[in-house]
Amino acid sequence: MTHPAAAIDDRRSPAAQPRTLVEVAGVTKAFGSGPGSVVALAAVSLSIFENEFFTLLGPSGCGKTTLLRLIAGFEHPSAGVIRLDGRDLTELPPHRRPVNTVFQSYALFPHMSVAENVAFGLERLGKPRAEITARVRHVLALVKLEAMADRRPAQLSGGQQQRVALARALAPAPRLLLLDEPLSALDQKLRREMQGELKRLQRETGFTFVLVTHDQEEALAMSDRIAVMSAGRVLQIGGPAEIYDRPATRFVADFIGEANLLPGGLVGRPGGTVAIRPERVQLVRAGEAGTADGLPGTVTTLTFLGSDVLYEVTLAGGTAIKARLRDAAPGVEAGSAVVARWAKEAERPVAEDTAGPRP
Amino acid sequence: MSGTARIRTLPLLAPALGVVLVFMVAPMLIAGAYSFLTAGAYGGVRLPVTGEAYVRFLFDRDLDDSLIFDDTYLVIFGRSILLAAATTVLAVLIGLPVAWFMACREKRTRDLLVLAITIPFWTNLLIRTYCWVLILRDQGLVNAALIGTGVTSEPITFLYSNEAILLGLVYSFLPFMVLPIYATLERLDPRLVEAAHDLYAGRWAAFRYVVWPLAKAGVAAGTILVFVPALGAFLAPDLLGGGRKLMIGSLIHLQFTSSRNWPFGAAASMILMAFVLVALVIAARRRAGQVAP
Repeated sequence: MTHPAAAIDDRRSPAAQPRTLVEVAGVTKAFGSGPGSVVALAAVSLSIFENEFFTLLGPSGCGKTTLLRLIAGFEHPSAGVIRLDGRDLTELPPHRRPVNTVFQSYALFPHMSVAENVAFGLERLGKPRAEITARVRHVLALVKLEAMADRRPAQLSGGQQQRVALARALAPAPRLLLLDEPLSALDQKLRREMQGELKRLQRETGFTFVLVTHDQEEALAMSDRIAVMSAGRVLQIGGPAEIYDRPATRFVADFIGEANLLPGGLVGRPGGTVAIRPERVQLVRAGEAGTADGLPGTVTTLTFLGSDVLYEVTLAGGTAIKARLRDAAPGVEAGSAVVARWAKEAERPVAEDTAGPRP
Repeated sequence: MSGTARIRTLPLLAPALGVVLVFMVAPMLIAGAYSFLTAGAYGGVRLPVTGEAYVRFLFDRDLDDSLIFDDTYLVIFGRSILLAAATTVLAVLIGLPVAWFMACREKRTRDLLVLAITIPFWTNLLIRTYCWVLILRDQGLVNAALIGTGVTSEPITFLYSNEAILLGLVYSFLPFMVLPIYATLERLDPRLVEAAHDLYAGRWAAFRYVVWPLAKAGVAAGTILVFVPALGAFLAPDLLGGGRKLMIGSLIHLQFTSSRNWPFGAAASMILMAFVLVALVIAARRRAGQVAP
């Protein structure tokens, strides 16, 4: 895994006074009523800034898709308000919201050609014919599908269908583009390609993108800011580097990348949990110089990961810890007695997660 | 396919071919043959071979044996087509919303609703049509309710009219419209409707541009399943039309029973069948033209 912090330089500096586009204020969504009801979102509040690539990240069932559907207008909040440009959207039906969605299954109209699909939103808005034609051509060029304009969706590959869905949602120039796990149906290679493509499109068009995903690598690679969600709550909002380097809770530390979650007492911080990224851990053979300040243990397994080597070490107290090293530590193999150590600032105290609203 | 392969598959096809031969081709050949024979005095047919039955469909024979144009049967034929067409239109207007309502329910509710649509088939159509007589007649349920609530003092005559026949036809054939439309709508991805709404389509536009084009195949199937049997129906016109407003089905029925004119009944059947065949071919041609622009 490439270190996500390496890509931070070209991101917008947080000092550049962002303008709030979407404001989600105390939004709760419960499905069903009475004792059998399920709370999908519990009083979620967050702001999405103009022109940013914002990601809702979390495991399935965390409420991220529900929040997206609430913003699109497909669901109605049980409580709370969603504002766009300061205007309350709550009572506005989906077709009156200047918001377009790229659906997970693409939901392309099978009886229309690619161009007709892309023109659909513009036609409903009653734009003049000439403007529609020009806009469709422009958007199809943006996703590099000019040659496919007359094809039917069924005649396209998955990746091409994905681009049509994107073009269709971009064509009406919405204030906000919602992407519901748009890459989940693509294979690994195409996915990487489309990640770059999406990022490029967002930068070129200047639209505000809201992406829903369960793939933390995808979120780290593409987002300006990420909201990590679990069990209907937002646990932390921040830039990718911030979320990765300074996870606020145990869940965030564990869900984003890999983390060693150690009892605080082990490292002289009694009472809490401390997260340490495996790549920050160093291994030294026991008995070598400078082993005084580390924790002794035994290597249990050693996995070659291509660019890295992953060591699993059982510490003296029985706690397991992972170390991810760029180069194999000389002379260290399974069964070796080692000392694990790290810089003090690699230790991140994390809060315990409060219980979610689900039964 | 080579000649030997064709010979080898023949035994496998034989049962199906046998059924088609015995139950479809043979009756049609018999009916076709009877239509060119002469009526027996007590029913049945006898020689000589003649085209008289077909002539009778359009002409009456005067005392001096000259032919006079007679539109009696054409009117019946026209009324049949009009009633069947009206039945089909009403069935679409009622069936489409019903099917849409069903398709929008949860899986378990949907299965129950499909079962509910098929419940009428558990009872004979004759009995169900008689029930409509009981509901509609002057002393029937509807009039009792109207008089009881003081809407009217005298019973209103509903029976023995084209409208009563139409009601009976729509009632009889509505399930054949609902089920095929439901089958296409059930397969329709609800996300497509959401996508339409998302792209600024209101309810009507979403229906017009997304639901309707995708439901059309079901409507076409339903139209055939309703129009064709409604055209040949004889129970509803007999019982609810009182035999006064004949439809082609009841006309044919009469020829084989009280009128004892089998050749004419057979000729009317052949004419009806030819009309349906031509209509179906035209419809199929038009649809094929739409699919491949």
